[in-house]
Amino acid sequence: MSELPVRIVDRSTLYMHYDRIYTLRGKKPSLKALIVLSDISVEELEDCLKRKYGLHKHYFIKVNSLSESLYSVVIQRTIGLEQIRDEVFIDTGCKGVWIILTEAESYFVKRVVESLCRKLYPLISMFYLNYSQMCFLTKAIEKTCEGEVALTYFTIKRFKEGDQATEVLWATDVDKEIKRLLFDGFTVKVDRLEFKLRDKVGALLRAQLSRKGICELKYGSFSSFYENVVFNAIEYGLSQKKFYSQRERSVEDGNIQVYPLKIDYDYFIQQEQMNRFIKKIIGGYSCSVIHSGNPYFVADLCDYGDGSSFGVAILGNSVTLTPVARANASAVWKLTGEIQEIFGDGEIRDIKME
Amino acid sequence: MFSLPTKQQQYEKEIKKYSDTVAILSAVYSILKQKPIIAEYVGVETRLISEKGVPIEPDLTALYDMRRKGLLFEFKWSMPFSDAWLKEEIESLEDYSGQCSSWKNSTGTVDYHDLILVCHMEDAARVTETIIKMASDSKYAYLASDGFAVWTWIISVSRKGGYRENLILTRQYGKVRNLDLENKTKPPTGLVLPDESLTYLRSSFHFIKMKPPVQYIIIKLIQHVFSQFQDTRRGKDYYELTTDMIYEKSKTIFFSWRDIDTQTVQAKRRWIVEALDTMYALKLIGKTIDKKSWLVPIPTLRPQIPLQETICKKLAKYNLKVGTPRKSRMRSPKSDDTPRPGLKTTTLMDFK
Repeated sequence: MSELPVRIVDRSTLYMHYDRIYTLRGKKPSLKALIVLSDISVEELEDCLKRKYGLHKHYFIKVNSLSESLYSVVIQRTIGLEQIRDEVFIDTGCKGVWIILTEAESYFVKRVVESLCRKLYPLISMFYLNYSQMCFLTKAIEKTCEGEVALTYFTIKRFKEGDQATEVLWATDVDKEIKRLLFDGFTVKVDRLEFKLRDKVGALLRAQLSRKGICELKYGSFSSFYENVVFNAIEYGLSQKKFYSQRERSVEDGNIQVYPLKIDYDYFIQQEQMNRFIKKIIGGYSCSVIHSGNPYFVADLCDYGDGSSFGVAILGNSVTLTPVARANASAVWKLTGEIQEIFGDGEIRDIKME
Repeated sequence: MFSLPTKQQQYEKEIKKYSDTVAILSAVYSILKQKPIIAEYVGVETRLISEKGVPIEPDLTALYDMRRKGLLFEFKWSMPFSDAWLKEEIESLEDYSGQCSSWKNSTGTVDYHDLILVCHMEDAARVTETIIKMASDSKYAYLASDGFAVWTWIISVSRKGGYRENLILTRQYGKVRNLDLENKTKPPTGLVLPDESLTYLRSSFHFIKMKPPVQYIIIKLIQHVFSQFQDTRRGKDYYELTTDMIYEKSKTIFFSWRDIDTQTVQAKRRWIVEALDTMYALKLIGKTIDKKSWLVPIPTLRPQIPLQETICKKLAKYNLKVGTPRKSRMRSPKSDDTPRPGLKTTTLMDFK
């Protein structure tokens, strides 16, 4: 006799439900855990939607509080003549972080949940992870679970002028393949990686990490996934938030202090990439260009969403970001993400002023 | 009569020239701060008293040789095209040439000081030519003596492992008596400034003492000042802001590099007022019904092209249509013209 489905009413039933579903054999959409940073309460979501110009015309939200810091939220979006609606669970147990859980199809997550989070920026801000950060995170997961993480494959996006494609690279070849693509003049960014995790008690799970901070459970113990993957991702996200915070230009004892950071690449940034940068960045930022790239590029940017402003300079193989008057951590993080969407994944480094 | 694209290009070029000059100042500031072997940084716009008893405020001041010798730097983003005005501008340097007092050392004086005029590369040849002509006249002997130099700068491209730019400071005319500086800036190699001069140092300063073009201030206001008022929960909206409120927030980028030992302020309140008036004329901002505050949309503009192109185009169109904006056409909100009780007005003497 098959078990009756568990109705999620609190945290324990949530664990029970997902533990059961994802350890059963059978085809089902993966469980997505979208991790976002937010200081607002989930109950404020409906109000936020009304306040944001025009957003309530396309989105409908119904929030239901289940138990302390756990909510069931129905989200509906109207896209043209189509309406998409599904349920998500939001866990706000960790201060400043929301874990949005859903077993809905990827289409719903991408077109409705992600899109809503982006539109509610800066009230909600997403994670932006690059290749090395995702690899670092898998190592952190391996360390905390005291088990073993085996990377299986990477999905990368490569583009060069008009040539754009998605490729799947097996983990064993990934570094070599990325180097080859870079050598061929492609811009490369790692979109997601898949791994298998066997924790210390032997529980096995198959999961994915994406550059937008979405952790996906394909198969295995939800409890292990939540504790080892999601919580590690949150910890890493909060450490990143700290890294990007308090970077406004300041004056100390009459001396000006700036707190820049840079993204280093293995190759020199080309004029074509800079042209693409101006074209793309202009959608989300006010951009005044001083040097348009010969190949030296300098511009001032201001985030339309939260008013943070930056100086951006591209010189040789690195992009330098210098926060100016206002610089919220999530805005700085977002900009590093946007830049890497255009130039591909690089290495983010802090610049220590002498 | 200029055409619209020509006028627009001219305005955009002015922004670039000003911004690059600020970058040079930031680079020299950084060198003086980090390498006190060359000279010891004293301050930005430090007030000194000239031989004639007139207060002078060079852009940068430094001391060297046991603080017994001084260096004064003046940065000019643009020099007049008219010969007469250019000559007048150069003549104004005379105040900087004689013995000055109020130096930041034990005696308040130095054995001697050198004056370095840093010009934009487009003006450097013209300035040098005029100086050479003037220097033949004994009246302008200070221009021919050791201790006066004109420097300029270039952004050069090297091809080491790909294209790569360097910012190079080079002597164009004259000589300074600080041997280290003199040797380092000697042409043709010049002083190759560190990479950070082209990157983050550009964002440490936003202004030099010389007045920027109005379109430059407008862009700074939109990107770095108005944006500070943005309420993340309110999102895009119209904000009622007084000139005082804008001025206060502007201090972060306008006034913060004032020297702590002087009452000197760097950017001028009137620059902001002029920029606000121009924005009003360009219909970028409005006024409240009682005309006491500005009505500022934040984000102010969301152009699909770079911001400087939009602003310069609007300004060029406006100026071609009505000529240079008249005062009556662009009056600031009334309340800001009357000083508020308790507001220190002494530091704003030069803003009248």
